[in-house]
Amino acid sequence: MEQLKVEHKNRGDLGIIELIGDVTALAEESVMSASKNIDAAGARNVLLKFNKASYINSAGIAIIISLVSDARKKNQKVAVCGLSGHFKKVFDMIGLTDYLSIHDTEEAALEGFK
Amino acid sequence: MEGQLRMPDKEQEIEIHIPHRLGFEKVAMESAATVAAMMGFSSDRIEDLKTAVGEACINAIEHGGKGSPHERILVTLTSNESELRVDVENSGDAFPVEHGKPNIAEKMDGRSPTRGWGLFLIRSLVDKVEFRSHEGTNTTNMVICLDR
Repeated sequence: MEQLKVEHKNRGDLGIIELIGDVTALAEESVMSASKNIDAAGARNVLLKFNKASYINSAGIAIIISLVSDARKKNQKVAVCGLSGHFKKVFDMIGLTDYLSIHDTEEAALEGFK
Repeated sequence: MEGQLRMPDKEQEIEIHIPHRLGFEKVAMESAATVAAMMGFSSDRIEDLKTAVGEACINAIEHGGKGSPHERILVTLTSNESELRVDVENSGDAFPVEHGKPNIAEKMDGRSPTRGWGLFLIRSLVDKVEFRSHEGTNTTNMVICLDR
């Protein structure tokens, strides 16, 4: 399994969490830690950046739901970018698209938050 | 397609044995994807199959393998001219088979656990699926059809 690397940064009031690799149960601690870090740096909204080659299993989807649920409690909006066509479809099937917006690129997501 | 390996038209069966360790579902996923590509399935359909096979293997990994450490999960790929069947078999406790779509609103509100999407994904991504449990052996049978 490709080890997941999680990076984070803030662009203005947008916190960006980049997920490089497979998003599985092992991702939880890293993703939640990145979420805390972007909040501490003043994030008012969240962008999850994926890699088109990424594999996201049902445990990874559960982590994303947890992150979105936490963001909603803090009145943060969530967007994602970089998903493959397949996982865009999966997110829609699950109903995640009712809770976040999907964009092709980081720039398009930034535009969406304006 | 010239130069591309294709599956012969008559039925072929391939068996793969994977350990009860998370991560090894990817071996089964990539094997199923390779056979599906050889059969001429579209890339979209292959991605659907990969996700479904991955989820079936994860169920087997998480719910089985409580006996000997040498136990393996058996993944059988059976192809013919019109369909690819993937059977995932393991010994151990039957995993709960829930029907219907999980309620994401409840999960978002914290009223139910965020996990529990595996069976829904399997049902949604393949053309036919059956879950069987008999005398300590559990099987998930999945089929994707070439003409759909």
